Amino acid sequence: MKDMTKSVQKAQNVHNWYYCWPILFLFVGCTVKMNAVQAEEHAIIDYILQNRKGKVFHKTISTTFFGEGLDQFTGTINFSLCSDNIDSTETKLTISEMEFLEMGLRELKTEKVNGKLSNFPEKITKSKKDGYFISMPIVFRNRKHAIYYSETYGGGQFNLLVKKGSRWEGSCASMIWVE
Amino acid sequence: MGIINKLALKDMQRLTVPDIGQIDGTGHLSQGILDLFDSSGNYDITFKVEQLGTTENGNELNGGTTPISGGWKIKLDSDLVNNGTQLSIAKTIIHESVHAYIGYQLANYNPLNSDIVADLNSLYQKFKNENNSLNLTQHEFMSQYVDALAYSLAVWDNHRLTMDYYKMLSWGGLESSSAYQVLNNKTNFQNAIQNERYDKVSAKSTKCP
Repeated sequence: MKDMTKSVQKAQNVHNWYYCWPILFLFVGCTVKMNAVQAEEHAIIDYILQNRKGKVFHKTISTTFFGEGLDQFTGTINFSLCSDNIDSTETKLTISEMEFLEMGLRELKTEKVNGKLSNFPEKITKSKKDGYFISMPIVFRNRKHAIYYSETYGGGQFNLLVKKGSRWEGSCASMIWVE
Repeated sequence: MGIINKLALKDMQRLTVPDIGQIDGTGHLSQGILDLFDSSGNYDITFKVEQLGTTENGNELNGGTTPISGGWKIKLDSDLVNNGTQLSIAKTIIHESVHAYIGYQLANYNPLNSDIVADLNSLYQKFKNENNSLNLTQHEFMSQYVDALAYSLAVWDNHRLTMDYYKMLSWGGLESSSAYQVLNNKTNFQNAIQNERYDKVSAKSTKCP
């Protein structure tokens, strides 16, 4: 009887493990995907710092100068300015993409643009007066596109980036506010 | 509100034919823009007065335009409204209305009618790598129409002052443009702009009653 109980318990443990594997795979899979997204975010920050004039403020932002949440502007994103240069399949956002971006913009957090995020410390400033401001980028469309918000003393805009090969490139911009 | 309503009126003083009750005056920039939004079933301009504050570099914001659902919101700084002359407020409304007009053109982009968008795009390509690329793009675009901005201001002011004075004021907010950079006597321009902005002794207009 005792042996039987033991073998039932053993079988149950195996059974439990059997059902845990998918969860474990899912967890590992999510972590790998998260790291891949983070790697793209870092590559984008490096792209911005390398290609933009001036220095970026050392902390990312999540609202406009007026304190408005960036998610409320998702519906106003419009990249028709670049219609002559870019295919409309790149500039037009689908409803599900807009929903994804809205959620991402709502959940944006302030992060430090330091050595962990960027390889260009000389392009970072702690002085608000001297720098421009950026939000963390939101990567979408299978990590081939990204949007981030940037702001200076005279306006703020969403910037669309496209990954070409292994490099990120600025593609278009959409106004959020202008003086 | 009175300033906005008057900006929407046509130029009644420059009629080349006597007013016989059928001709309602000649159009101008701000009137055309406000009329466009007034007749649009899809887009509105909303005006709001609020404290806009000062940016980190000490730049006092007079106004701002932002897209909202169903149109554009123009924010006027409460300090400007309380302390600036009516001419300075009218100038700011005209300036911000043009930003809303640009937004309207982009929102209604049509490949068959895309001259303005093409012009904006070619300017954007020039400023693409600047941090405030769209701000520079729109102000560079607007600097081509300073005469029209000034004329609207003159109409609003019943042509009381010289066109040169209205032009000087209309350069306010366009200082980043290449056209402004090459102007002579920029000090005079800035003096006029500041006089009206802060209702200084030399201002030629008055504050709102």
